[in-house]
Amino acid sequence: MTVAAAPLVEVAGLTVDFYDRDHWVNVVNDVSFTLFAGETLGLVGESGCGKTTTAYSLFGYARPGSRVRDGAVRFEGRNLIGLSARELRAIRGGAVCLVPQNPAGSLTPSMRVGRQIVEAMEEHGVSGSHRDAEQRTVELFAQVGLPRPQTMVERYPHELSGGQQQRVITAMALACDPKLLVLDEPTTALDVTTQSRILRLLARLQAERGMSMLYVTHNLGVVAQICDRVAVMYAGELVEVAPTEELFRRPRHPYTQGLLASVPRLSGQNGGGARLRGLLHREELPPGCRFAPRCGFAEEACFTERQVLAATGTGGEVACRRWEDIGEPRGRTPAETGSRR
Amino acid sequence: MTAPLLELQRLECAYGGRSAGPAGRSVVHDVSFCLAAGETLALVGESGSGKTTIARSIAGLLVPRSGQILFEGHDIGMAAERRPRDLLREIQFVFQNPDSSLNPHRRIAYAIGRPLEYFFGLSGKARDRRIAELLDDVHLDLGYMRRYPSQLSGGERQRVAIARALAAEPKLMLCDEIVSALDVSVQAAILDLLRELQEKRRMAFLFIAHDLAVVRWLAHRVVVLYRGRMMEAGTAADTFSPPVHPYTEMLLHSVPELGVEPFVGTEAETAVDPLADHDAGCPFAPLCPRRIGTVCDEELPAWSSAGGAHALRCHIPAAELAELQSFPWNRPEEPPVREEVTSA
Repeated sequence: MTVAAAPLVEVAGLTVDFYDRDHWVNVVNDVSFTLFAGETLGLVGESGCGKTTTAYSLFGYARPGSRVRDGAVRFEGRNLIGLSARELRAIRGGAVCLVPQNPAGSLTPSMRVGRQIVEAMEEHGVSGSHRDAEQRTVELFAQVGLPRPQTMVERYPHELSGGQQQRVITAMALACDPKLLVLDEPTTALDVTTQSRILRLLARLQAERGMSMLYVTHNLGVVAQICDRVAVMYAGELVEVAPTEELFRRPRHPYTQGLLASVPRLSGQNGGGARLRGLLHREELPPGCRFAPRCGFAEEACFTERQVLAATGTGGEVACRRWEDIGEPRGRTPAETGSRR
Repeated sequence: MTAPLLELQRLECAYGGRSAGPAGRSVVHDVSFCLAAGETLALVGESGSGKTTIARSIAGLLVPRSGQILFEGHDIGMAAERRPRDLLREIQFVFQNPDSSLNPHRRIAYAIGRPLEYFFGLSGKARDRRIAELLDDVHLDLGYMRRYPSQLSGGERQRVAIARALAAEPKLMLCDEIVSALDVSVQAAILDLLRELQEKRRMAFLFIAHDLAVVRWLAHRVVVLYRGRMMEAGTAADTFSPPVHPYTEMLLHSVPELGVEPFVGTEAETAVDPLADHDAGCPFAPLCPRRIGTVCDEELPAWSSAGGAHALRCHIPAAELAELQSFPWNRPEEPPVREEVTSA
């Protein structure tokens, strides 16, 4: 992968709050990262860690009941935060597209699937005539590996399997030639065999089109297969960002280590090291490292000193004041740490 | 030698009730297996493979078309409403989605208290004490009694669903994809909990999952289903090392895992109609990367032994499959994951 000098996306100090009954609760705190052209960045963490909120900010989108308190999201140098609804609509579904988790919920049940894609293209004015848009829809269906695309465009969503629906959604996302695809757990609801096919499809489409992808997931196996770099989120903050191979070979942050150790493996052994203990209690976050209450390495200072990402010297960044003392978890075998990429 | 806790003999299930008639299409064909007390058996396969249908028929939510379901030697192939109360108590079902199996308008204490009243006639202080014990079993504190399901996270709700099933003190728990929707750390905690409960109470689990790594972690034995038919059965160690059925092989290669090459097959959606009937031949033949010829399309393969209790249904001899297959996670010196329970 060659990386262009200027990043496609630059998120700087993003801070988002949610309104809960009578007060604001912080869900994303001071998150900064970059995404380069042609790159796939994985955003991983557990439910409620703020990964989806962060990902949706790339559309300049604040979910209902939330506010962007601080920070900037620059897409090709232009800050999306504070753009008007009309300006954002031109970007959403155009230069930046979403592949959501639940394909069935994103398709109109009473409209033929081909028609839905034609509409999306006409909305963004990327197609010439109506006939061109229809022709292009059939081509897109073929590209995403749907069988008999000519007849498939005439189907209704309920006539398709989950994997086929996800392909239709992917075709819709690609219809306007986006520069960035945001994928929100796109394979979580699918069978492993279907998931495997969709992952290969995405890898191929990305290589062909040179798109960037932000892949939101809690599945570390998926990350290992499709991402160039990985950003790990915990309780609204980034705790570690590293190239995929580096992250799996040498996880630095105790949370990343615990996450990797919690994943059951086909070998029947886990990844080595200590598994995560306890659960995240959002109402009891310390002012320092938010992971400290669950961390086996925490000292007093960890609870009070705020941690920010700092370079490890091996290609990654980690937000832990003790990462050098902790070292790497032991007991891992080469077969389990070697990444495909 | 004692009778197994659960025994399925040539189970055949269809939807559509009597109106479907004898010509109605079966979704489960000729399924037979045993489950011993204290054992975990995993049913593995993709959506549409019949896993949930089998669990539903064991629970009495679906009356099988033919074949027998024996529980402690007695035929229980009848609907739940015709089952004696003790039998209802002994077999409990935990569903995939705790959001839809817990009443959103009732507090957690009600959800767990109901089986205590119904099966054991507990009320008042005695019931509350037992609810507290059950919450403790699933590592939730007392404060949860007064809460509503909407105030709990997905993992907490699933623990409540497990506590409710445990309240009945079952001998067999049917677990339908109970950890699929959960985060890895919560998933790990629930899997540990199940193992702990099994050791403490000698409970048997029928565990339905599509995540093979989870199955590897938890199951003693595995049954692999494809389109309602058993394709392979063996210990967990058997089904994760060669020889395995080509379908099992495809499933294993589809699991995204570090250091595991993705399954080399078509990336395109297959045009095979999932609802088409395959009366003759191996049901997996249309997709099988190891298909050897017309024999696969025309003849349903017979069971062949792959050593011990490991059996698979393929026209390719097991010894030949063993030579063709290799998995990166199988190393000769690999210690057994956990002790296998020797079933009767």
